[in-house]
Formats: sequence, C-alpha cells, structure tokens
Amino acid sequence: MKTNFHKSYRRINRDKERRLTYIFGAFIFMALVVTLFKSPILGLVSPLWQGQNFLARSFKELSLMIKDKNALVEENILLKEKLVLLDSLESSVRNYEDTQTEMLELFGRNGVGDFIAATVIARPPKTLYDILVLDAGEVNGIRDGARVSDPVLGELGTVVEVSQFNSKVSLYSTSGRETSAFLDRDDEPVTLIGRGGGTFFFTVPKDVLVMPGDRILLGSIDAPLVAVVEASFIEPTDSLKKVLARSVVNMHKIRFVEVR
Amino acid sequence: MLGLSIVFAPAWVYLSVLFIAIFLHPYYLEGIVAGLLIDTLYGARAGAPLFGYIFGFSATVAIIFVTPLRKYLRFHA
Repeated sequence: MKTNFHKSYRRINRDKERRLTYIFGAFIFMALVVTLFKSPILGLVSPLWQGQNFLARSFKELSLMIKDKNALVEENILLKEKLVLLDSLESSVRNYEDTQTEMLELFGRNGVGDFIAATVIARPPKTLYDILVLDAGEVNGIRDGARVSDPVLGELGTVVEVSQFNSKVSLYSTSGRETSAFLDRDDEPVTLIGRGGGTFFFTVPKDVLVMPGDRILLGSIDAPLVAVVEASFIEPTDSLKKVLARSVVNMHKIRFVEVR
Repeated sequence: MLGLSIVFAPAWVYLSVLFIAIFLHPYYLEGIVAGLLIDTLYGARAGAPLFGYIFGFSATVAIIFVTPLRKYLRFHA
C-alpha cells in the first residue's frame, strides 16, 4: 500500500517553520517600527497620564469634601501623627544636609548645585521594574545618567532613558540593581541590591552592629540618604548578617522630583 | 481595550489581559504590539535595541507556544 505519510509529515514541519518565521518576522518588524516611533508614542501617551493624574487628584479632593465628619476627624488625627513623624525625619535630613554642604564647601566641592524640577507622570504599580516616567526630557536639559532625588527625603535613582519631552528613571531599588552605599552608624561600606518595590537587601559581617532605623547613605561625595534599615537576620552558622532596607520615599506617592 | 488598560491600569491588570487574550484568540499578533507598547512606555532599555523588548518577545513566544496547544482545547461545553 502506498502512503504519503512522509510527505505529510514534511509538509507539517514546513508549515510549522513558516509559522515560526511569520511570527518572529512580525515581532522584528513591529519592534523596528516601535523603535523608530518611540519618542512620538511617549509624547502621545504622556498627556493622557497627566489627565489621569489630574482626574485622580480631583476625585480625591471631591471625596474628601463629601466624607462624613467622624471619618474626617479620624483622618485628621492620623495625619497629625504622620506629620509629627515626617517633621522629625525632615529636620534630621535637613540637619544632615546642612552639615554635608558645609563639609563639601570646606573641601571645595559644590553641595547641592542646580537641579531641574520634574513631575512624575507614571509610577509603580502602573510601571514595571521600579521605573518612574517624568514629564521633562532632553528639551528641559535632562541627560542620561542624571541623579534623581525627592525634594525633601532622599535619593531615588538615575535617569536611564531620555526622549525629547519625557525621561525614565530607574530607582535604586530596581530588582537586581547594585548600588554602592555605606551605613551611617559606623561608615561600613555596603552594596545595596535592589529587590523591587522600594526595598533593598545587603549583607555585612556579623560583628557589624545594624539596628532597624539605621540610615544608609549613597557612596558619593555628597552622600545623600537612600534607605533605612528595616530588619536584620543571622543564622548561628552564618558569618554574614542579612539586612533588609526600605527606601525612605514612598514611590507610589511621588509627585515631584529633582534631577541633577 | 487592551491598549487603554496598558495606558491607565496597573501592571498586573494589563499583563493578565494580554496573556489571557493571547490564550483565547488564535494568532493574536496584536499581543506582540501590546507587549512592545508596554516595553516602550514602561521599560528602561539598555544595549542593543531589540534585546530590551522583554514583553514584546514574551508575547511572541507565548503566541508560538499557545497556538499548537489550542488544537487540544475546546472552548465550548
């Protein structure tokens, strides 16, 4: 009996290959088109994000207006407590910055310098991999690699991509990102490893004293605040202590940043 | 719908919608465009241009793997 099994099998394989080529070809073609039109795409979408942010803020204000009195009183008490905490943190940061600036001036290095103010138009959880999208780009003077910080609390990350009117910031807490820093308590150098979601991980020798609330400063000359220690763990058999830290800035609520 | 969710919704929403759509529709090449759009809007790329398109590439691979699987599934009672 004559069969055409081999022929059919070959045809099936050929179809599979053709399908693969077709889909990968589509991917490469579309990727090239998207690469070419990247800046206009971001330019088209950023007004939508700005509109969304504006609406979200307006609804929040409206909901505050129609909330009942008791809820407002409770919220007021909570906010006052939060304000006291933030005040103490801010004064501590300001004191530290003043000392730093004086020190830098003594050594002939500029402290704060000029900065570009920018609004955050997209932030986690909308963005992935701890990325912020800013409404300022090349035309505003933002360059690749520029440092980005919160106006009050501390350092956030660096600019990794700049288009004409927008830029993207990769936070130091981006998963897997390594950042040189040191513990403020005893100037112990550490390498912060980002874990995503504004958290970090690092190890220190077990003799080094690390307490929750210890400040971690960036390993640059102006040494801005990057994170605060949350917890530390050590097994009896380990020679290194594992430390978890959290960024001082809540990345879900950042509205404005400074780019240097 | 998917485009709107990419622009306005959190990541877990648009990623779920994308991969469900790839599973439900045969040859959902729009999924590649959606993945590339996610990479363009939210990804920070470094190095060679095509290597940074993680979600565009993931959508492509998902389409390739899901398409033959669909033959063995039925979507009605």
